[in-house]
Amino acid sequence: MTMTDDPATHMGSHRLRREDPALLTGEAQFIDDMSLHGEIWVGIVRSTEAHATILGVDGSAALEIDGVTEVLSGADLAPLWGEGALPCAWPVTDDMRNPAHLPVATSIAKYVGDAVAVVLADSRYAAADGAAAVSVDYDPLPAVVDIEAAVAEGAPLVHEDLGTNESYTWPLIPDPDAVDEAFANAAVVVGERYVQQRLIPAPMEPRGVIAAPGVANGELTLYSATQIPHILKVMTAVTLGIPEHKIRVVAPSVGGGFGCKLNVYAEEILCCALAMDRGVPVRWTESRSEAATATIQGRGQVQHIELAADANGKVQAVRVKLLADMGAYLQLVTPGVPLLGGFLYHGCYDIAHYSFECTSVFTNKTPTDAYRGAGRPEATYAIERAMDSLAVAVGVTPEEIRSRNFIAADAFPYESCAGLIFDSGDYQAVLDKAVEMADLQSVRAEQARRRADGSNRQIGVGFSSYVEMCGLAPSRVLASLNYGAGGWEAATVRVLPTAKVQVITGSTPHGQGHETSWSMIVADKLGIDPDDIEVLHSDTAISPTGLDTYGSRSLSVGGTAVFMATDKVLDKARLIAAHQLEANEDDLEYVDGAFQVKGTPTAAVPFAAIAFAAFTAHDLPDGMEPNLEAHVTYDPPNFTFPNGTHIAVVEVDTDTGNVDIVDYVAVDDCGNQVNPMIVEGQVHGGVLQGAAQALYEDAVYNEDGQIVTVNLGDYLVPSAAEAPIYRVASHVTPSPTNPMGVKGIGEAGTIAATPAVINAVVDALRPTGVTDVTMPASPQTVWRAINEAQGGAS
Amino acid sequence: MTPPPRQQALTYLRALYDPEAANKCPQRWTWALGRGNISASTVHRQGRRMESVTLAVNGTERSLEVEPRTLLVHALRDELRLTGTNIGCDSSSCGACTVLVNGQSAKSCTMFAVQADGADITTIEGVADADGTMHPMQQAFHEHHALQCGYCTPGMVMAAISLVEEYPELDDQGVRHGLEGNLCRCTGYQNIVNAVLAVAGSGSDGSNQDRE
Amino acid sequence: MIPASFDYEVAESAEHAVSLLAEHGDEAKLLAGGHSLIPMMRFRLATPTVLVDVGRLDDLRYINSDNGTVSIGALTRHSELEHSALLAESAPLLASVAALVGDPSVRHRGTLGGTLAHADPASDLPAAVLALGGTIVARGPGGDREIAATDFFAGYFESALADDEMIVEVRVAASAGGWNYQKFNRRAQDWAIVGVAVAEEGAGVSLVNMGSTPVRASAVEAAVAAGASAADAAAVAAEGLQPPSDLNADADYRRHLARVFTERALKAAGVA
Repeated sequence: MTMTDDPATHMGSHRLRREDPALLTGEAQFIDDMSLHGEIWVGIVRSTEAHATILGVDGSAALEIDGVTEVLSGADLAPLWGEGALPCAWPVTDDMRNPAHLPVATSIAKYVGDAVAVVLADSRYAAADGAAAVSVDYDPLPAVVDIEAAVAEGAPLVHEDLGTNESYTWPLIPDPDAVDEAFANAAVVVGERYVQQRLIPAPMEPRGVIAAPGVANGELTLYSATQIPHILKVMTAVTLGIPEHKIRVVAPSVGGGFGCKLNVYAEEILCCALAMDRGVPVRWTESRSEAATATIQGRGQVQHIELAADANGKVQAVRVKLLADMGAYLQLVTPGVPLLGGFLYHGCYDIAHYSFECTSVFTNKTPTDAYRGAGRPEATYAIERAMDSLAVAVGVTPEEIRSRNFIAADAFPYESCAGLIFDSGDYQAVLDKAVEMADLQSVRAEQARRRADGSNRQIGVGFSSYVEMCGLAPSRVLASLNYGAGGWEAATVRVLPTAKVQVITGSTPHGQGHETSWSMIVADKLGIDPDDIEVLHSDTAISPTGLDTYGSRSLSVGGTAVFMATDKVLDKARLIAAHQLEANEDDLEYVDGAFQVKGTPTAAVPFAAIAFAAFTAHDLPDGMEPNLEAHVTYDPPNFTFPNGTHIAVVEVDTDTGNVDIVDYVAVDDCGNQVNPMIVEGQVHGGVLQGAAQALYEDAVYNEDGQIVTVNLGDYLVPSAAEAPIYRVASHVTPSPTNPMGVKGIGEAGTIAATPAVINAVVDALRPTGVTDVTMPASPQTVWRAINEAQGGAS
Repeated sequence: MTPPPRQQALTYLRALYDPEAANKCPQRWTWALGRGNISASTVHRQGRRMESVTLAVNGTERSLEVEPRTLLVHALRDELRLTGTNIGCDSSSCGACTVLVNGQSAKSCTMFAVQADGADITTIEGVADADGTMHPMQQAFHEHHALQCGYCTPGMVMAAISLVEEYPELDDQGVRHGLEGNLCRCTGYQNIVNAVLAVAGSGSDGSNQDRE
Repeated sequence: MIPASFDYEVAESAEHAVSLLAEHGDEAKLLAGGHSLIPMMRFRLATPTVLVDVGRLDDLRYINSDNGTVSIGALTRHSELEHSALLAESAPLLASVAALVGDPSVRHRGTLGGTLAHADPASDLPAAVLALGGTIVARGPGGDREIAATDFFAGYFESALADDEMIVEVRVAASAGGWNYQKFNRRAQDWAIVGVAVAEEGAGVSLVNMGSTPVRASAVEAAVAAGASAADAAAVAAEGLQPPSDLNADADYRRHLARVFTERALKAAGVA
């Protein structure tokens, strides 16, 4: 199926986004833009200690402030949720340790930022004043901050009652003996240790919640800056015991998520509980500094990876041991994040034997959870860095080591050593295209010149070839991983009497442009103008069924559901047309928005006539229900496997350690593209987030467990002045998994970019003897790496 | 460190040294303050007088009573219900709250409303034509796919309008440095830069009057 | 983050501001552009009880050049320094440094007097005034007094200003000599990790964020005066300094950066 060749179709075109005007004019409503009559504000008092017994909460000073009405400790609030702790929906093993996680701590604060008391006030300012005026008496306990320290003998325990800091160990070792044998027989073994620093997701909109009760009927409307209104509705019902049919969840315009709004947070449960208890709307808006501890963080792993290869660098086995930082508690999918990478440590390479084992540990820090890529960037980083080390060990170029190991284009569908079936791809063609675009020959000539000159501006080239599993996912496969939900998505296509169309999607866009893309899909199938199609979402009263947006799943699962629902509409429309034309439906074809008898365009029923006929129901085939509407819940048969090769070229100032990305080439295969403009935009933004992990971002904690990169002055989200210019291209191998042949692009850039940039930095520094640089490769870190490699004092 | 003599700048240091605040503010301040002469003081004070402020917001005179500490962005959003201007940080780092004050970009989170008394304020709600025709900068953002989630967008557009007015000869690097105080987490900036360059290169000074 | 409450006074003149300061004592604080003060107030690291707004004193917004002296009103905004043709000609270092402060929105509000009074060792313009051997004119109850920039900075956020004084003017000698400013940071919008300002006339070299105040690199200046090469002069850039350690740079790395950027600045200025 090709979408780009037919100029008559919308799919494949750079259609401008219908979402833009409201966002560009300030009309769009984000959570903090709303205001409900009689609302009360919540200010949250957060632990300033990483681990401490709460001896007392003194709200007397706060209560003297105008506008502050109540100060509530965790113990005061406990009756509101009873036993209901915050949910973790992914118990990855049967024996996983999952401590009870109350929205507000009652006796022990487990991390800096843990909620310990709540102030209710009549205004934003009074809530802030009140929260600042509450004094909490702490008795500090020993804190465990570092994950390797957490598993050491005698480490302080985050949860004393568990008797250990380990949450679970999850192995994926299909054939242990074969792995051992491969390593025993290997001509070359590469062994590396990498640290995935913690990252703060930092969507530009912090979180916010408004819970509005419908007192008369026991109803609750929860407005939240969330990626997952549908999942949140279920979880709110389960956690608070509110009947699910009484709950409506609305995600208004959401200012980015990147995984951190894929959760069920303390503030959501808190505001709902208070709203139901007090009978008034209760709201909370997160400040940026608050977000540093109150919102989940990403990454946080120590990786040990070993490759066993023959003398030519053909890898026979990969063995990975992972320590993953859960933080103090398990949030919604915290334990599952390492598993999403756990199938992909062999990268896009044809490796026979696989050994992966993850041990996940508690620390006295903010919980981790899904952040753009979720497990897959970490896996890709490890294999791509290790492949570069292998290339050096074997004495070949990074592109050659990759070519020698790629899964061949004719090997698809390909069963991986980790047990996945890869859908489609031509990894070599993708790499070749990237190499050509990067003009490697010239770059390497310049690199050689500068190396010979001993220049203080060294050039490095970094490759990253990645494959990801996304489009989550077959529900049965998720069940085998103990995931607490399915992987389907729902869509309704409703044709209105005047032939305008409503598409209701269970996907929940927050920047991805689904309204535009879904309308393009439906417009092409129905032969109507995309502007005649409205896409509705993100409100469980309008879109009651869905599993929301994360894991690059929206197009391949949610978009496919829309595609299939449109087909069902057409199937019914065909029957109506056949009835009207008194023809056999098999003799009809749908051309330019009308059904006609094949080869007889004079006898045609336009779509509008069918829509109206379905509405009036005056003359429908016997037994047919009135109206033209179809609902589909689509459960995909497999994941999808986007892939690509990115090449970063960096210039390192060896005097200062400063790194500049001077060229960035991205070639991605996300299958067929509905809107290449949106695809490119996703790649741009994803690449910068990945590059930012490589060079800028780091959620730094000191040894006491205090986070020290709390605001955007210290946590270095890059600006336009730091961003590289991206040169983006694609290579399309349609996915056979779904009818549109799409794969997903939301996380690809982030997955690819981090190792590409670090590989380039290490390549630039190779003459100095540097073989690894820890992330982020700040100027100081790079400068020290150079000094240490050269045996100098640091 | 011996306490230095009483000096005006010490007002900062004498001010509250609250561990929670110290944990949130930019690190180099706490480092510096940790070496200064610091004593706690009361944070909240009752009974401060309200101030009258008159702003010309998007061409319309608006009068309001505010606490002196009311940030301009909160006056616009909470008092005047002009919620197009967003808040993305608390350290003046992100620029989401950028508006025009007397025609020049300013971070409305880093101004008290009282400071703007008598000023002309233009927010994102005020840049399109009355008939809804978007400003050339808004249109360029649309055409270049320079927004995704759209949260940074109002501030980015306002900063860009001011930028092309202030710097007539912008190139790629000029735009990038001109927008260095406006953070976007979605786009990677390339399309934003292209949008601004398109307006800069069009000869428009970014004002609506330049359009046909 | 929400600032603590305060009372607000609008100064009608510098004299009025000074009298308000005297009236309210050391709990009062001047508010000019607010781009140093307000962020600190939002984190409640600064909680003055009275703010005296001098931001409307437009008679203190000027740039004049007369008899080899450039006089700049304290309320002159960074963007006005940046775009001033007069300054570009007579004190180009100041204009150039002003263009590197924060981002354009910050430069529209921030004032020269404000950044000097704030006395942040990581700020750009104080170091430039220092390298130029400038003079700061302070107005107090007893009238004006001149303070040499070299005597002005007393410590972290501490200046030689008395509680009841405000800066009204900054003077630097007009200079035609070479100059350069090197600013090193990870993101363009951030404070300098290290900065180096060089002004050929007066052979001034000053360093940003290398101690509790902006500092003159006197050892470098002496070496340059004695005819040392840029590399040799830069080698003593960190001599005697106790630079801070933070997330971006520890003290040793800062010393190293001071040497690297001093050499680059001296070369670019054509001074050594």
